Amino acid sequence: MRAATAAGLDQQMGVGSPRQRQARKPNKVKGHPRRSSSKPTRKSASSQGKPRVDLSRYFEIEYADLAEYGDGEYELDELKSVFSAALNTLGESDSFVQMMRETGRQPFTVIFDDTMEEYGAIDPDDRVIYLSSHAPPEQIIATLAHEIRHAHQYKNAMGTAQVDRLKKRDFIVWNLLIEADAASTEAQVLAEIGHTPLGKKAKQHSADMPYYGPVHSAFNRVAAKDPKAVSDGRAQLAAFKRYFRTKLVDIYKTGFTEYYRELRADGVMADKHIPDHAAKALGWHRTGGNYLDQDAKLANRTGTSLRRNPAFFGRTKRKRKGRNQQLIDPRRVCITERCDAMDLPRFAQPQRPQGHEGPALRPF
Amino acid sequence: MKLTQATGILADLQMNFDDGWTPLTASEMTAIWPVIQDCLGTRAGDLTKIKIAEQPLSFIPGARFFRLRQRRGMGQTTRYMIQLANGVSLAVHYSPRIIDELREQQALQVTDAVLGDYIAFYWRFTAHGRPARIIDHDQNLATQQTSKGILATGDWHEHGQSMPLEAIIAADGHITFTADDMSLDAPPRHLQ
Repeated sequence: MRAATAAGLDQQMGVGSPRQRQARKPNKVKGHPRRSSSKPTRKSASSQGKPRVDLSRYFEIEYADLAEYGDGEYELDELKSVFSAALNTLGESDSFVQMMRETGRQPFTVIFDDTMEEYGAIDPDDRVIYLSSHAPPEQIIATLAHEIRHAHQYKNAMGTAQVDRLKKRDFIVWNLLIEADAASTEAQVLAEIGHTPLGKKAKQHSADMPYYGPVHSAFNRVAAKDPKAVSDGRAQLAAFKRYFRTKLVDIYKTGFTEYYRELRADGVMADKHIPDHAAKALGWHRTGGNYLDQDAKLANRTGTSLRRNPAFFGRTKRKRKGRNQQLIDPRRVCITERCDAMDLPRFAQPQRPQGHEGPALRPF
Repeated sequence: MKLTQATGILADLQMNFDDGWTPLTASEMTAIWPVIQDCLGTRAGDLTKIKIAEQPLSFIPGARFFRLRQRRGMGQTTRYMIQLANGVSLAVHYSPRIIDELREQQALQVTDAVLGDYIAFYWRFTAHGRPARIIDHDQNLATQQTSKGILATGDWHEHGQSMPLEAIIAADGHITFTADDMSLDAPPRHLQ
């Protein structure tokens, strides 16, 4: 059954043999990485009269509360119907369809669950997506876009086994980056579908979300100023950057630190840095340094480098000593030691006469 | 359910659902694992990969309140389960039915001293998507008998911000939040 479904995906999405796939694979590294691969470069499929891609066959729906442990609040058919409607809407988003195309051929198992606290989660190794069955349709759309983006990151940037081996700061930064990327992609997909098939409340609902609300608002602000920003990636970039000013960063930093400790306790080695190809695939790396380093506004907020800035990790920023302070003058050491021994003032301290600017004057 | 007039809540009874969870030791996890499997079934997952923490519930004497967390990062899922003193275990389904189930088991003992904890529990675990809020224990939680039930007024705390609390606790234990931003119809808000 899985093989048949995979073949169907090939046929429908225009994916042929492995050699053909390789030949058609876009060059993701060229130009601005965040504008590559999954960025929309044309109007939505429906607006151009193209046949809409039927994505429903690539998802197998289950309901965790259906069976003996169930007594669930919903019917499976009801959930299937909501999911199908959400997927139908998502099919209008070029970004979403592109992500699906680049995420692999095996179907995802979607498990609705009444007892889950989160709206959604994904186990990319097993291709299982967990969704809260309480989520309204608008939320399911946003969550599904978010989780599929994670699957895309897993497939194209870095797998979980590699992420688990990252050194501490790289581990935390990478996890924040993929969350920022997923949140901004979510905003991109919501903008592409225009929220309209879901009713007037959908946009309001998106704005009301306290954590991703600011991310979505940043996207919408840029899109309202210049509609072209939606298609060229600038709006998504703004949303991506805005993520680093949300309180989520602090919350997740704590969570990822705890996660990192658990991995070390389990004996997983931490010996890797974020590889360039992964950073490029995610889109925050540019030749000559990472993307965050080169963005003036973001650099001001996070330090010159997100990865290297101790302040980002809750410590005080290390102050480098000036060149003169690094030098040790044996004559000065001698005289200060002698002064200390005789309980005399250290008259050899650098003096800065009144009105003098520049480096302090030294007696030697 | 015993519910008396309350003029204040002691500060040391404050319950914060985000903090104060005590991780179970390996032996404790092994002991509780069959109960969790019986309650949650296959979604309980693997004992070696699950993280279990617990805290007491002040309004259910003898109960243990468990937090079951699987995977981390993008795959993290969190579930909650209550084990009563009589051995019955109940999964939290983010529905008011948990209150009915607790009443059936005659487990609820909501007094004025634990009213704040009960309201905070009801707020978070009977509807999905609500962020954790705690009652401001520094100020009095005033109660007043009305025709619909007991009207409790005070202050919430959420992310360090204070906001007004107004809730009507009916005789059957169900709560209606009457302040503007706490309507049951409010859009769900949570982490994704």
